[in-house]
Amino acid sequence: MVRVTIDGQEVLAPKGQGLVETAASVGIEIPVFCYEPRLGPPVGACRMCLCEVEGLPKLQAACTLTATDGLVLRTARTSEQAAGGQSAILEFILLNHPLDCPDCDKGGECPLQDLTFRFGPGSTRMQFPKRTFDKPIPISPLIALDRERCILCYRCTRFSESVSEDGQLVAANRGAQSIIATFEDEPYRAHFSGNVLELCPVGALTSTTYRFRARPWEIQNVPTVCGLCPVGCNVWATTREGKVARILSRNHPEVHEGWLCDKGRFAYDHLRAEDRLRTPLVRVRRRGFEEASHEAALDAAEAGLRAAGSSVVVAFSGGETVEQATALARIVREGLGSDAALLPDDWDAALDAFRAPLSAIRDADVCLILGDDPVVERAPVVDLWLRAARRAEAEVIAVNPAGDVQAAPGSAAQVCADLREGKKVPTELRETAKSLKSAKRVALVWSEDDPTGGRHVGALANELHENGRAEVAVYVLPRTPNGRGVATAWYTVGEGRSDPPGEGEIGALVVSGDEAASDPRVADLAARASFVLTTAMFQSELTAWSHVVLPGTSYLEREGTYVNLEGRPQRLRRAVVPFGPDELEWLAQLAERFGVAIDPWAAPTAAEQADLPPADEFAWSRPDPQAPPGKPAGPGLELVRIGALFSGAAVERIPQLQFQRPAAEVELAHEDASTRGIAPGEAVVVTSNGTSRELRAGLNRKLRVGVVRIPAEHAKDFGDRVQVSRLSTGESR
Amino acid sequence: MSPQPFDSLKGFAVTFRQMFKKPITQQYPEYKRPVYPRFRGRHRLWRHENGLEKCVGCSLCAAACPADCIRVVAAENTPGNRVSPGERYARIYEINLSRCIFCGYCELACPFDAITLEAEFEISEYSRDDLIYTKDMLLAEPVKRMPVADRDLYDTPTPVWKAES
Amino acid sequence: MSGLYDAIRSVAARYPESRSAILPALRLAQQEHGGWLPPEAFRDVAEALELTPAYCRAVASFYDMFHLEPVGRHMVEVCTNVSCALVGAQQVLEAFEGELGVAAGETTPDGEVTLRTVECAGGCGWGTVVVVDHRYHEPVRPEDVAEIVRELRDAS
Repeated sequence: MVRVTIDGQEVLAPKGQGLVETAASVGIEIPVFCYEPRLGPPVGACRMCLCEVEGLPKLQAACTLTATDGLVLRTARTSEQAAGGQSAILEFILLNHPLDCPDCDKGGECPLQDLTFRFGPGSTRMQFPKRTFDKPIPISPLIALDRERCILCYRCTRFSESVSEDGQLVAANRGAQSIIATFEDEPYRAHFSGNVLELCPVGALTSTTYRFRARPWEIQNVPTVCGLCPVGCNVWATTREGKVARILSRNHPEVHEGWLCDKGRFAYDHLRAEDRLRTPLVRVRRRGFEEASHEAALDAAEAGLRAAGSSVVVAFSGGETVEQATALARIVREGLGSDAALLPDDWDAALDAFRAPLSAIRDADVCLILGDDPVVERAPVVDLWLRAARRAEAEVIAVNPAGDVQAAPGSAAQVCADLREGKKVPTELRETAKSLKSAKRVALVWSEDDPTGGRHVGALANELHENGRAEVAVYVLPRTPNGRGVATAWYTVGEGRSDPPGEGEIGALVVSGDEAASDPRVADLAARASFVLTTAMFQSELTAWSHVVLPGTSYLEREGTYVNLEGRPQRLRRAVVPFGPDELEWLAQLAERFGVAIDPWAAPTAAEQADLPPADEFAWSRPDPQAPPGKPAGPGLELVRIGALFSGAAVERIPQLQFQRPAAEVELAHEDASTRGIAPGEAVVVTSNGTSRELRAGLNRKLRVGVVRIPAEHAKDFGDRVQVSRLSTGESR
Repeated sequence: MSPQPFDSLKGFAVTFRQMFKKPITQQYPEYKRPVYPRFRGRHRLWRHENGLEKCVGCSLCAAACPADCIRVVAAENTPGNRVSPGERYARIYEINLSRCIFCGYCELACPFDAITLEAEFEISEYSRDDLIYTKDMLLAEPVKRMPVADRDLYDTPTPVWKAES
Repeated sequence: MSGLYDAIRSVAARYPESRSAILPALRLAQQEHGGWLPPEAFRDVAEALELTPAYCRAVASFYDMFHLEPVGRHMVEVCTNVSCALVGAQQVLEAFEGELGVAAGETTPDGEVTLRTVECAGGCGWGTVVVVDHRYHEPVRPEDVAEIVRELRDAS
């Protein structure tokens, strides 16, 4: 601890703490624009924080200084020089800043407005015409850039360079000519691009989806949790006149540190999609669907379920709240006496032994990423934590077909087994094994579907903990937002796990949610079911095989609990009121008819705690799992399907997000491409299982030879192996 | 003796004297008195000389309004549909005059002098719904709805500051 | 284009981090592309150094020795920084503009000479500094300009 004097007040602060925080700890504000600790070391670009430091002749940028013993700092409150400096800086910043606050979306919540009001001059001496640019410039379909308003604080480019590390938003040119730009006319296409909107301290970067939709005094902010991926980022849902107008992040330092992915930030408008179901639909023979009253729909649902007896299968989509999943599980297990469920994610409770907040990734010495899915597509913010770990000099090792260790597709379980046994480690894993052995803090990230619920990686973690005495954190990334919570709810309600739906006829199938409806396994079951009850937000071909369709709701319209990938229960709050009863109300009414009492609202439970429950005592008690045998080799290239983040029912309905959706591209290893004479960007034909499709070739120098990667939505009907060849139209380059 | 009868008589004298004076009855509604310069009557939205609306839909009037009677929904100007000079314009601009207290704060708040409180004060309606004035109504000249003998002479009054300047 | 890729990789190998090689890499790319850096050049450099084209362009746009637009065979660079400006760099520049018939930043229609202003060329004691094809002329007065241009025209 060191002693710092700020405005005559003595402050005890840890040595090296930033002066902005040190001053804030005693309630003294040092105004800043560019300073943002989450973006890495301070840059002192805006000079707003000018303060007087005793012993130094000139004003100093306080944000770049740290607490040292005996430092005497005078802010604008006590130093005329500092006050003059700050006022002059504001006058300077405002030289070229247009006076279009009434037009500007930031008006009313603009740091530049606020600080000018408090620290700035009342008028300007600028008499020359201001610098002008074309405006607004859409640097992507999501973000509009206004260069006139930009004060060159470099927050956005620092985010792009050193947080998301996409390197696409840069400051071009030099000095007074500096501008924020992307490359040529290319859009800022990155998973986390929306964060620059919140970082911008002026109205230079504004959201096209929120543009002119509301002003700060017309809105209500509802604290809730994003329900689009298993990270469970904390968000504010901004509503105006009963509609969600935007999503802002609500910083939870252990979960997402205030960063949101573009899906979570921009996909909210699917609530108002035109094809949203608003009334229940009941199938009428030959005439297709007919709108029905709630009562009639429930009658039909009851009749269908009763006719099925106990031959009922329920398919969860993993987007249900815990309360909803519990209600549905109780109807099926208690009311109907069936134990058959299709769970999107499985979850082994013993993994709780290695439970840790996501922020622990950054503190790890070694991070090991297993599984074929790119982490950023499955749980985007986890990728940011891994990048933070790498910047903090941790060793981040990805073991997958395009990773640092180029493992064969589907070999994650085998890799776990190899690393666990310690003997006969394959050559390519030797370095990894060595790093893991010497590490004191290890983070293991499993990024693919695991039917065992994470036992492989759990066993590896146990081994590292038992023999290596390392602190181990395990993150098994579920496929769905609340997959963990749904699985746990299902197991809690009845005895045992879920009976797999057998072959042959099924009495009734209950499909809960759009994600379940789009699951090919569910389509299989539906073909065999004599009655299908579906809850869905959107009418599509996926609901076509249903007999009764009940309108579903989105995560922004529900109250309830979500359990994220850490195992952290978080509360969803209703941001907007849905147009009809939500799922829980439906289920409660339906349950009543089967003699099951369910509260039609999500009561606050003991689970409603934002804090992560402490890990149990280490209690890994599972037998070592057997790794599944590798897939047999065959002709052609091995296909890895990538479940892209920007896909699914919500994203498909946002026009501005379409550019983020995965391109129709096949990723080839450099060697595979050159043996086939394929140049990057060329159109190629991909054939598999009798299906062929024309895709663009993308080259990846890090991809394992013999493997191709295709986004799942472009790999429909493909088998595990594909043939790739040049388009034989005769046009040669 | 109390002064009561004298005081009463004094009062009667005042009343009596009025009988010989010319009455100053105003023939309202045919004739409307000019209103004072700072009179705050019905709102009016203004256009620039080139026909574009002065209002950019910034909602500052709605923020200033103590009765919360203004609703603004903004939208973006496009080259094909340019409504105001800036980037944004008011797609919806509504004032609920049944709630308005005619304080004039909206006029003060407006950065573009787009809204002013004018001289018109005859805004009663048979239905409350009709008291919600839309942008088109606020942009238009006040409707002369009173049947008057001589339109030029008697209709909607000219404010003093306009008549005398 | 793999020639450039390999050349950049071999330069990058001399640095502890490959991104440190961006300046030599851009120089190589500029040579490859005839004296300036078209968008493809940035893509090539970015691929070789595992950076993004945007980053490469940002770096190139900072430095005066990288050209983002096509340049002529000869380059006339007039320093207009403080020291030179004080001794009349603006007049020298205008003299060049008159003599060559193009404004600063432009190339003569025959593609021979590009005239541009640069930041300090490092000859502040002898302003105005004019750099013609990497050769320094200092100090240059407006009346010397005709001679310099004639020499340049004769050389080509």
